[in-house]
Amino acid sequence: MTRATLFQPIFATILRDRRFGYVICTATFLQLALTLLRFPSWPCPIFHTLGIPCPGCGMTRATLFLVHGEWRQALTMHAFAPIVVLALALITVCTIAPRTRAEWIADRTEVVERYTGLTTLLLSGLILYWLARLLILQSAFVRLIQN
Amino acid sequence: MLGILGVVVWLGSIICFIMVLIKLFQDKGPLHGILGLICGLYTLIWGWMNADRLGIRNIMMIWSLLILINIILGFVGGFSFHLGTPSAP
Repeated sequence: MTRATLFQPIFATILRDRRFGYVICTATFLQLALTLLRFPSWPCPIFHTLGIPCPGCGMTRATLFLVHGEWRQALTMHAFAPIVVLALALITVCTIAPRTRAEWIADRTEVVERYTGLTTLLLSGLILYWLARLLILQSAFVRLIQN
Repeated sequence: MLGILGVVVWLGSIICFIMVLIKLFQDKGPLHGILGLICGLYTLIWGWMNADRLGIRNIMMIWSLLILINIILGFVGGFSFHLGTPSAP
């Protein structure tokens, strides 16, 4: 991977695509609502087929814990939940805000991504976090996701 | 019976997921691909929004149908028919 690939803006492209943002927000809030009401919702294809939790497993419940202010449980379920909530909030703002304001936010995000490679760092961190949970705490991790 | 059907639906679902994920890697690069791997919902939405351009409409329809069947089976089987595992990721 070249430097250009690593510092390529990813989140800014999502923020710029308002139609995509609208669908993402709708689907995510639907998922959260269904899980909150204990209805069947979007299931993880990897976990249900292979029995191995994926890097995002536990995120929905962690987000709901966060919404309820239960920080400890949220971070136990998934340490990246606060970042995902922040990202979701930004996507929602860019979807409903006036176009000029949304463009301003997307431009700033792109600058941060290009200079720091923040999204790449976060994605790499998420993969490392998943590998650590899978290799070191395997049975506890699977139990946590199953319960 | 419901369990076997569930396994078949899940196998079909993961095959479609992998096919769309490969398209995502090829079209948008490795970072978007990793994002799609982490968040299946992102892959599903991206797949539908680019279905015509990439010629994956049939795969998306099959995948969505399998997800719908799974959700219906989830209701029929008391919300947890699939091998005792939870319904939320």
